[in-house]
Amino acid sequence: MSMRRDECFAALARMVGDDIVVSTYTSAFDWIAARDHALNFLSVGPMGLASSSGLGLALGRPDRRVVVLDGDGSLLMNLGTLVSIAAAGPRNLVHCVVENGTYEANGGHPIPNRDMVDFAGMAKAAGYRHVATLASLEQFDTEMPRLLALQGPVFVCLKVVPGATAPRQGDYAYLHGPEVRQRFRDGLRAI
Amino acid sequence: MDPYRRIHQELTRIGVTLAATLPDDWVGPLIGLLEADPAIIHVPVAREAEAVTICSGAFFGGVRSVAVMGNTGLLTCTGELATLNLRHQIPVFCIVSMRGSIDDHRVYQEIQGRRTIAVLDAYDFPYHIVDHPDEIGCIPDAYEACRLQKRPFILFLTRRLLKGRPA
Repeated sequence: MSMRRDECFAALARMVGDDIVVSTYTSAFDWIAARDHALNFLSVGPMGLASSSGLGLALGRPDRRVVVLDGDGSLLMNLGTLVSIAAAGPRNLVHCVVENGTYEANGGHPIPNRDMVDFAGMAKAAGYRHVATLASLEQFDTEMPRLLALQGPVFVCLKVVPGATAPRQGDYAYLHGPEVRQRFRDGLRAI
Repeated sequence: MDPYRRIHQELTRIGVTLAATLPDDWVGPLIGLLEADPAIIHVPVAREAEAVTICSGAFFGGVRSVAVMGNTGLLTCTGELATLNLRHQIPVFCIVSMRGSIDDHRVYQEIQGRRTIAVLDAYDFPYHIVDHPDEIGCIPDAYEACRLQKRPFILFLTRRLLKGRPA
């Protein structure tokens, strides 16, 4: 069972308000379509480090909730992050892994041991305070508000399939542009 | 005052409040001081690229930070320093042990000693070598240079500085 990523993100956008949201690579295109906001941090450049950016932001701005939309391929490139985040224990961090079973940004190639890996189980073993796996939009609508309200670090595995093509899909020049980071800095300064 | 305390003092003086670290034995005592300082959030990490990225995230949050690591760790994360910090002009201040010098008699540090500067030059990462306790006072200038240049800046600590005697 799984849900469409665009529909999941549209629902999430209604829940997170003015939270800082860190998204990465292909998920970032869907996320900025769902929520065009100054407090979107687009983690591009090195693969796998969205959660580390999120940890730095959460520690730097303990007054704000930080939601990370990691990829499953991305997390696999930086698994140590689970232990580092658990040890740091940021109460304001919600680390979501958007699991589609592929390295989507570089061609949709399958991740190792696809469909067998239990990402929430890994996060629990690493020491996250709360973990969950959500596999349908109904479950997401019901459970996600409660998970967002918990004291972090919280880990949520979102099992998704692609949805509609986002308007900026593949526009890496936009993701990498200095304007998006300046907008984020200005947005953070303003709150 | 021992060099580690002087470095910690300088970092405090310039307002560093977050340190992300992965030790080798030369920088370990500095990490111990950072861990013991209640004014500093200390984040031990599992991989040096995490340290660099946590500091980068903290930068956007308005926090002054430092990444502390060994020379080998620096070499493992030059790709991330290039594609994150250099590409996106995000300053990150790294304090790194300068391993593989002629007084570092560890054969497994040989390549670090011979090629690290060449690698940094290839990426055009600025660096500065602190070789004597009197030079620790350069840290505020080095930190400011990092912020002005909006790129990774490596502050190397030599064995002579930290140990004061040959191996």
